[in-house]
Amino acid sequence: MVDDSSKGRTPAQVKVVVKEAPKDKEPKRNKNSDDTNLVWSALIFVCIAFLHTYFLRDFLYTSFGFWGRLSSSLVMLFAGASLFFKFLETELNIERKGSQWLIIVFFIIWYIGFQSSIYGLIIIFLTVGLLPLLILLVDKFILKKSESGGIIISDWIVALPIIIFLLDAYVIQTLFSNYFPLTDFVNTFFRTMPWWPLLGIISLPSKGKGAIGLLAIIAKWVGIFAIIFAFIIPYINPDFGSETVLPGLEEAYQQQKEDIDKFDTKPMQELGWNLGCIFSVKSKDPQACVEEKKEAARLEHICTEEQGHKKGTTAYNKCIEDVKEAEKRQSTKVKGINDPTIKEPTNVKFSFGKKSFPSDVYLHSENVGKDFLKYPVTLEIENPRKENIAVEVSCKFTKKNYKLNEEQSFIGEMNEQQWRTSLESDSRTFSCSPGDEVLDGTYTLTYTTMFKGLKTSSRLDRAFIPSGLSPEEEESLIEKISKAHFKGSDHFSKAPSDFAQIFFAFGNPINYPIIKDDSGLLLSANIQNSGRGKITAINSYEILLSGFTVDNNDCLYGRNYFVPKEKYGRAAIYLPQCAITNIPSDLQSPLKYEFKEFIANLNYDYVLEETTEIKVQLVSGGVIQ
Amino acid sequence: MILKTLKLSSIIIILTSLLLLSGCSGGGSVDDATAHNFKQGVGNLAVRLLPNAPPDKIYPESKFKIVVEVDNQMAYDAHNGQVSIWGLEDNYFLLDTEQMAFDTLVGKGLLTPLGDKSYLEFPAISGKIFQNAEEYINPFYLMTEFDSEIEFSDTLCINPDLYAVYNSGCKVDEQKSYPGQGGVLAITKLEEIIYPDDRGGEVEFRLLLQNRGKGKIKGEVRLLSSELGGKNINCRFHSGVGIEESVTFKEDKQDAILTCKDFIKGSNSYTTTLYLKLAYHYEQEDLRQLRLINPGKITSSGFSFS
Repeated sequence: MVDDSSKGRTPAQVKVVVKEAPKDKEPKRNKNSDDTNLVWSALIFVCIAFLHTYFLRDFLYTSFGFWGRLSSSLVMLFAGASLFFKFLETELNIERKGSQWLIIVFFIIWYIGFQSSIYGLIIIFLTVGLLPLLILLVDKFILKKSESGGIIISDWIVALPIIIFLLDAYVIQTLFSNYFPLTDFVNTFFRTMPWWPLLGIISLPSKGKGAIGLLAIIAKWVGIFAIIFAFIIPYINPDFGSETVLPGLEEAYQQQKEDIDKFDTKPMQELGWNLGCIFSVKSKDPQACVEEKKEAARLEHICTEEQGHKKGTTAYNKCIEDVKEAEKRQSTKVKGINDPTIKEPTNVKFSFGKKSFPSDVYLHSENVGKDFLKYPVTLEIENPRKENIAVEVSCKFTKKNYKLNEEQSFIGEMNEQQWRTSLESDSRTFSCSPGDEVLDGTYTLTYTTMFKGLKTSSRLDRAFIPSGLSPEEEESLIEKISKAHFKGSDHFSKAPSDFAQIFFAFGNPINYPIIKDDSGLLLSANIQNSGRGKITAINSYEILLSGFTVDNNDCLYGRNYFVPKEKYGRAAIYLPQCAITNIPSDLQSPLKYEFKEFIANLNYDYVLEETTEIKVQLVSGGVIQ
Repeated sequence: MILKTLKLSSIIIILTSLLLLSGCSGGGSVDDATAHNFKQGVGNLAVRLLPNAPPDKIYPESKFKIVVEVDNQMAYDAHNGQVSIWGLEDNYFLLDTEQMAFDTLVGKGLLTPLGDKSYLEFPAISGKIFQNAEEYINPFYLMTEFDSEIEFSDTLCINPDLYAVYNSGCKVDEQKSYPGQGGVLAITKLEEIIYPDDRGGEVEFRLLLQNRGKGKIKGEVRLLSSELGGKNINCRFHSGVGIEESVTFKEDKQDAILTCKDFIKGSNSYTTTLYLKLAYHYEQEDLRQLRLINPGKITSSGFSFS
């Protein structure tokens, strides 16, 4: 058909308009085939979603940090949205359109690109919010379509994957907890719900046939119930959302990790407790019941995972008691900070020469026993205080027998075992050889370095004010002293970030830096392991409080202080506490105030280990054995 | 012609009024009048450290001086002055003496328009820096204390007849504000209340005293002199507990109310001068810091002579 308006134009200008024949009906879809596809898609998605929820997201977060986890979540968002759109099309006859994806894309741009700012929200609203309206207007008045009324609803339904994404990323929970308190139970529910699998379950067809169809229907109703439960329980605030933006993903991830770490429990385990305590006949207070279970699990985690005791053993029971006792003492725990003015602590670095280290070698059988294999390691010591450091080095080869699930190890031979240095920066290469042992296979080579007689010190500031001031004068003086000397963490003891740090404090309360008189003063100290090795001995410690008298001198100094083996790791080693019975006369009633610094010294032994994998393949006449 | 007459009469009236006003003044002297410009606003005792004394960077185990300049910017003398240093850790900075007195510093006036200055030297020695710390910063307070006075003088209108506001050409200001009298203690507000009776009545002045400086008035503020028209007037401080001849300023309340009462003579309004002299003790603190540096941690690129 040729348009009449082409009359009088040259042939090149003639516009041919072909009018399509009106469609009587939409092409018929194969409903059964679509349902089957959807079921399979949903089931595959549910599997991937479980993998994401219980393994992948945390693994990626641990391995690659924030971006690792974000990538996993984004993949789930796109996969979840794709499945959900398919579900909408198959089950609800909502046509798949580009605008649905636009909402997802715009959300990602807003949340990650604009960091969920209000400015970004306005832009997104103007685009996404008005987009369906624009489409409606275009459809209604330009394309003259009459059946475009459902567009707005269908476009907003596709926001469900976004909500799931935010729930999975712990954003909504963090947002709620920022504005109104959540009960522990609801908080647990939020945290433990496998949100992406839930979306997969929701996307299962509701009118299926056979066993799969029945399972899909049951799973779907469970999912809908869970969603209603999750969204009705939080307190509905009419002002909600009026001026807020969502918490950032990193913040939310961190919050989730902290919440999980805080209890050291697995999400499903916690959900189990909640259900158990709610339906328990014995439990009159479900919340207290959950707290008890949490506490028990936390202690169990410390004694089994961290301390390596087997549950139910005497050592395990003793560990539980010890941890409880130690935590009681934590209430008077002395805090300390890294000395900000000491930027060069004592440090040690192991380095294996990339080219010279024989990590993977072929050894001819004729050369076995000829001391061919030497594994060098260079020890680089940063010794900024030029201490006299004594080092003892040893090495060990460990081979794991996977069949028997056991390890076999033997001590290697070092070219030299001892070294002393007092240089500010020094390094020495040691080599380890298997000696008479024949290496064949993959081994873990462990270098053990013991540093003997390491020294570290810390400082503590305190101010002494006269007694007998009026309350107003005292308050004013304390304010001035605090302003000048005790801003931020200045009232804690400061120690260089060496392998070990001795922290101490005195006063009442113990961390309060202003002292009026000697009544009720307590002194406490502890040793923190701040390196990656072990404190194996405390040769001596001293807290220099000249002119002070205490009720137990062990709190001021000691030699060869016993360190139990379980304290070799990162646990704090508590030194004896004491009461200060008298302070020097010049500090008892100063004219205005006295500002003093006190020092503590520590002499300790420290063990560092460094491991590397080596591989030796024996070759006989050019053939690998 | 009429206009010329009006202008001439206006000039005569103004001149006559000025003569009357100056002639009516009850107190004051030539010195007071000339010093008047100095005795207004807020003046303080400016305390500063001389450049490079102490040096910006102090090396371990070295001698140095903290030189304090005390500059009297008040319109009054500062007596019994003393500067003291508080808050130095003596393992790092050991002073020969922690406090030094200074002689009377004459306030700003005709003979000393810039005020008097004094320089106090605090010799000191630095200690060792802790291990390999890069620096040690020690905040400290430079505390200055002194005794001083303020004088208040203003010409006020007293009118016993509340219903005849202009019966003698002066108008009562029920409330007046003052920026200060050239010291740190200042009378900032005055309220005049007349209690008329058949014999003339009584006038009451309520004055608000405030600390307008950065420091604190310590101890008592004493009234040394109070005169109305050259004659003593009965004045009392109002503290929270009663009426006193002196008032103690508290840490958190650095103001007080002084009331002065006198009988009014006659029934016509007149202007007269209220004169007050008050003494106080003042303490002010300046937070400064000393910086001990580790010479071993200074790189050649970071070295400077400043």
